[in-house]
Amino acid sequence: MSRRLPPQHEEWIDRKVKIDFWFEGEKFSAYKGDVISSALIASGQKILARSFKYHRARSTVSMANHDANVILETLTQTNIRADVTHPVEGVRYQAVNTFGGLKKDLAQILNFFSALLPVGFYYKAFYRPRFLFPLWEKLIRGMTGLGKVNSNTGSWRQARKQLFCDVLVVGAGPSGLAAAEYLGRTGLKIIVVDENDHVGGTLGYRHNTDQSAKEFKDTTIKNLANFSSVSTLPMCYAAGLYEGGTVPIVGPDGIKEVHTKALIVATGSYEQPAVFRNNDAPGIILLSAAERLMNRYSVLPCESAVILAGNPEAYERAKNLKKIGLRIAAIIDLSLGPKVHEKEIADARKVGIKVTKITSIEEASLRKGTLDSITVITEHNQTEKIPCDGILMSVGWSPASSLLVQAGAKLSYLTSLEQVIPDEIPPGTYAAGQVNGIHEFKSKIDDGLAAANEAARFLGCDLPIISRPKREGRAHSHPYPVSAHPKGKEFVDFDEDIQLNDLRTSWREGFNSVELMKRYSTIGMGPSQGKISNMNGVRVLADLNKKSPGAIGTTTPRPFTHPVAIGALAGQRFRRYWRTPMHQCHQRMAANFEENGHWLRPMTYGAGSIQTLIEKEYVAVRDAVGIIDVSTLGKVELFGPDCIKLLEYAYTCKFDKLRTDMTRYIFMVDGSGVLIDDGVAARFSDDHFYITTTSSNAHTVVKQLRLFSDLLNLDIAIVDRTRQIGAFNVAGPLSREVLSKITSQSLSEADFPYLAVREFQIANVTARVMRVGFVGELGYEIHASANSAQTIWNSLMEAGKPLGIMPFGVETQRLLRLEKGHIILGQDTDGMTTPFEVNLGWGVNLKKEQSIGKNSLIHLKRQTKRQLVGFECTNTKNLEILESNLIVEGDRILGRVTSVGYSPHRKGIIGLAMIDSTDTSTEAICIKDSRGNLIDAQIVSTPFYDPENLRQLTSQGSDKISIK
Amino acid sequence: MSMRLLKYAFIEDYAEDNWFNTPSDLKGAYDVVIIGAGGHGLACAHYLAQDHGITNVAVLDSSYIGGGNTGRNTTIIRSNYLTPDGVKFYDQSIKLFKDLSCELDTNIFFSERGHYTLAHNTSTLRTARWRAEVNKHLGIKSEVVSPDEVLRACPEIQLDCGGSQAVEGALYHEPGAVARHDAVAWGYAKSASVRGVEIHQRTPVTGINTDSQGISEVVTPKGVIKTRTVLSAVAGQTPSITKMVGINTPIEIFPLQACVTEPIKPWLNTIIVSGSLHMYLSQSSRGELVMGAALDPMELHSRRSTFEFVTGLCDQVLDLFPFLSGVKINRQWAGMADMTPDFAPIMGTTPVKGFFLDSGWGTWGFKATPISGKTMANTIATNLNDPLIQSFNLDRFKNFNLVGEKGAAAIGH
Amino acid sequence: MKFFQFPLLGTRAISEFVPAQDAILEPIDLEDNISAGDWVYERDSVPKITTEFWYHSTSQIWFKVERNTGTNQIYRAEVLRE
Repeated sequence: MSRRLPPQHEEWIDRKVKIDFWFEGEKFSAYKGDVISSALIASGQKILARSFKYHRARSTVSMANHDANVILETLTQTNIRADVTHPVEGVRYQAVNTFGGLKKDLAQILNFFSALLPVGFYYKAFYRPRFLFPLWEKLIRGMTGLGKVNSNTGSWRQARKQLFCDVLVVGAGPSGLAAAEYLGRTGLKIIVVDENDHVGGTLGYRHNTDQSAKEFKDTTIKNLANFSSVSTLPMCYAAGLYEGGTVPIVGPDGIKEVHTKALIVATGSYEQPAVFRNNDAPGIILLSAAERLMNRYSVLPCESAVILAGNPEAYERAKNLKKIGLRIAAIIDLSLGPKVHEKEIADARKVGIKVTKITSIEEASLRKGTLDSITVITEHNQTEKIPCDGILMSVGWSPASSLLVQAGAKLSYLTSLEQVIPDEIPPGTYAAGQVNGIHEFKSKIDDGLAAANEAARFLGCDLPIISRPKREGRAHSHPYPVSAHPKGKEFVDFDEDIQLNDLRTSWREGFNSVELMKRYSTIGMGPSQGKISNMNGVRVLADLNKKSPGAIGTTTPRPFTHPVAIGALAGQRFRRYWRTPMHQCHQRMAANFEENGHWLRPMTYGAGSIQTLIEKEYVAVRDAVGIIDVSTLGKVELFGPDCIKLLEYAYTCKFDKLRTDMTRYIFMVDGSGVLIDDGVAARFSDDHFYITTTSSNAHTVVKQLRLFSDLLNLDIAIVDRTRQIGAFNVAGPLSREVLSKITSQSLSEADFPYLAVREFQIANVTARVMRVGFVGELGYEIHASANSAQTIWNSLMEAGKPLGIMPFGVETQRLLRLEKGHIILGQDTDGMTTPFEVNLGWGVNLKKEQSIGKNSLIHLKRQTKRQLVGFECTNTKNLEILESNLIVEGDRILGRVTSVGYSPHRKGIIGLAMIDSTDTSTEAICIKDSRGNLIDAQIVSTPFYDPENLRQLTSQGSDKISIK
Repeated sequence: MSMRLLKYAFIEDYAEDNWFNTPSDLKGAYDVVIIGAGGHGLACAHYLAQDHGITNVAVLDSSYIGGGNTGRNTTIIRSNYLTPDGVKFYDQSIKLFKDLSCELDTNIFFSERGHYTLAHNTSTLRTARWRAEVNKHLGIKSEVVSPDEVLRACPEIQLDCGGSQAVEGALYHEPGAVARHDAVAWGYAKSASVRGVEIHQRTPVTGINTDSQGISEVVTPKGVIKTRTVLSAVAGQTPSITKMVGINTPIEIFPLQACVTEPIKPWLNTIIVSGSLHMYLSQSSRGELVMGAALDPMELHSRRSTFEFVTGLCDQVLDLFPFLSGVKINRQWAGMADMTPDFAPIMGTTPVKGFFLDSGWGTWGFKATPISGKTMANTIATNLNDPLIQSFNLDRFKNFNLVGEKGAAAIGH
Repeated sequence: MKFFQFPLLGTRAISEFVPAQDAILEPIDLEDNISAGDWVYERDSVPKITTEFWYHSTSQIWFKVERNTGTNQIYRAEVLRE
């Protein structure tokens, strides 16, 4: 049985293109342009979904995404809103949250037990005895949720686009279109969005019998198309309004972030349902849903309709639908008095429509699961049963005002209109049309023009003032469209199956404000976010509190207007991938990379167990020569007369003793005296320094140096060279021999002593070379421009081949430096470590006039509570100890292991540990491994390797970067 | 089936008594005034009445019961802290939570889910182990687990994280749980109300007066209250309250945001946190995925939502759970977090006699609700800091005696 | 996204900037009744109009920004050092 009407003037369907799809295992046909709901209803399908809690039969209510009754899923997609989704050829849809299919849903039984499941029932049960709660929880979790997600589907992401405009007009109904056309003439850049497939709003389904409305629509749309400054985006909804005028516009191809200077909200309003027993039955829909179905999709909602009229427009709208084929059994007028709607009633009766004035609705009755009749109490207190298979409700409106509230507007209740209207809207945002409490067609246009005029003048256009039309003096909403029934099932919120009595119970139990009631009863918290339930909730609460709805207030509407897919929000996946200049060399050498921030660094090279690889590389460095890429270090060049001033403020030491062409170890603390970075400083002259930072802090150090220099007003240029320069360390007893093969620079102790810095040519490339080393061998740190660093690296590898040169990775470096007792910031230190705790007190000068962290350090020097120490386990060869294992003494925690490894040199386990230093004479410590075993260890002095530093230092100076 | 539910079914027009004692007028004097009718303030009122027999108490709130951070957090409960002080405190909290439904006669849906803090690099893994070792030593169930074990608990997770920052392991904390946050506040409010505590909603505190003996009066638009004892339990508004009594604290206010998806059938049975990806998620009893991220970068006293938050979060979520592309975010919101320099609360006595602080909860106050109530009640009743909160006193900052939680910085929630 | 007009940079999203932590400019001498701990840690985090230092990492420029921490309204942005 087809409910399809003959072609309508404004229909959105293309009858030439048929789409076949499946719903609950049955095949259905749609026309192109149909939504799933319209196609199903056209085929006579009555039950489209099951409700969330009681699994009651449901169908659409609004046909506009104002309710969330009909939610479907496919194998790959879930929570599809059937009222606004076009069916796709061949796809199999089914209702979400059923147990055994829509028809036979086994969970329907919950409907009969609903009395046992009052509001907040889960707060009142299942917790005694305690051990049973997990079982109850499992049961509840089995019942909860809507659609299933298929975890085997891959991700999709839609790029987000940024758009900028002068005025964004949200909603392209009469007001929005009028506003857009007016603004189009000003030359301002305008974007108009509308969530529907086609613009026009009520012009297409309510005002479409009015000839002047049709002319207005056609002309305006034509004019808009001619303005190059106006772009119109249908099928796009404004998801929310954020600070600074950003409105994410969600459409089929992703999100456009519109950044607008002014905003016109012409979003219309949500028609509200009446509350009576069984008001959720399939077939009971909003009158606007019928208008949409019949005009947009040419589908008859029912065979025999009862119109529930709570406002004057119900009559005009009913007559219009009658003209295009709706069979009206009766209009029932939820009257407020003898004279109300007198003229409308008389007019309706004139065209042969039966009108009954009623005082309340007894119930809607169902037969075989579908609507069969409505029983009402007439004004003469008679019970009357009217057979029908559809009830179309026209009882009131609630403005779609969430964007306005997000802009900062208040909502107030206008008793003359019996509805909420926006109030105190901040400048730059303007409401127009029905959202603003304007219901009459001509006034909607005038309101749109006035809003546009205000927006244009706000943006500086010199235009004569257009004043706002007056709001009508009569109500368009029924003040209390609620009929209680002793047996309940009068639904206020369809998403959450909340009945009138649930709200009453909430109220009586103390949840008597709009916020508490929302949270306790969950009204408005479902997928449709209360679009068609909050207003009735407020009316009920006002009634209970014996106040006006205006005194009740509303809850804050948060983004989003409609839910937005994670894939659309996520946008494209942008990640930084940084590669050092030697990356290809590492790849050729079969490096095993690890991520280090955005960088990739070789951990080790070649195939085999990590221990064997480390050992091989270790031997090369200790016995011959190794080379490691350290390009990830931060590198900063400083020029200007105030270099020393800056360095002495930013770092803990003095620089007066650092001679030209020499380097030193430096470290930095924050204002609270906590170590945050370390590196090397090289002095080329009084006004030219070069410093390195740790890899992860490169950015932070540059940032801090710039801030200090700005605040202290220093004469200095700070150049961040981190990614301009490649760097690597050549280390090992044969490093000098290898380097000397490819440079003419003398590398003798006299010409290039320990800790010196020189600039010279290596392999015909200018390089900056520092004789420093982290690993405890004779070594050179070579810095050269990123595009030539590879040349030096390759030449060194070539020259070193006969001597057994090997590249080594960070894993090997960690072991080498551990033997040498050098700390790694962030590993051997934590978020509270002071220099004094890691034996760096020698590098802290507290006599400087001004230096970051100085006052804290003065204090902290006196209360050093912890100490980093070296330890050794001679009795174990296996590495059972892991970094972060605790040092314990009975129940007490004394500290933790920060670094640990097997030392080939000491032939045992060595490590560093941060321990409470109340007792400095401690010689033995007890380490608790991850399995709880206690392992004895001795505290030993560091370095573990070459304590006299003979291998690095052959002429002068002393390397103070050692521990204890 | 619960008797309580049967009454609803079979007694016509049945409703329980009003849960809350909310008289319309303030009395002229109270023994104790608690500012803030969130979980913490109400828990304190409950324990003052239950443990110490102090019932002449007014709980004031500028808004409504549980309307601040109590109703805005992501309800995670755990005790896997880094310092013995933190671990012991939160472990006691979990113990109280476990019995809370029965104690308050309100099901708070305390649900042990297990809590995985993912590590995407060696240094996070090292910090994870540090926590695990401390926890284990103190008898708390925490363990560093391999990526395979993460996969067993959550087979849907994509360990390679889309090609960078792969999961290398996790800190698994078996007692990690979630609970119904509102129910905790309501339950405490109900229990305190039964004992005579008054709750005054929409009653902002506009001033606090002192005299030579310390606190003397609390000023509200509804009248001036005489009292010698005031507890500030106002989370994101602590600095405004402390300013009234002339105390400076290190607290700084930053917005913390969260969002939920539409309800979907439960698939995530555990709690997943990733510090590196700045995200955490769990699935509520309603089927919504509850998700959060790091703090906003700038101080702000506002509960506005940002689009950057939700887009940034979704970007990271898809790296771990690529199949969520089509799942929709329904709603986002924000709260104000009162951050301290050492990520530990500021609790107990203050330099102003009779003025007590329960503050500095940052992003994790919910999990402390029962124990903060209990210890603050004890502190107020005895005028001595409860032993469990001694290291959380305000005076620690002056002398750099910070709580060691700062050691691990970063990982939160 | 919130935008503001910055000198040198033009209109930028404020999410491009990171604020400096407090306790940046070490006092040469602490006032008598203020301890180092007070200086480092004490805050006055109430809604107010305040001047902050914001760093723009792409251009590596510091700005001085006047902002209301209650409303997030920005009044003025200038280069920290002209």
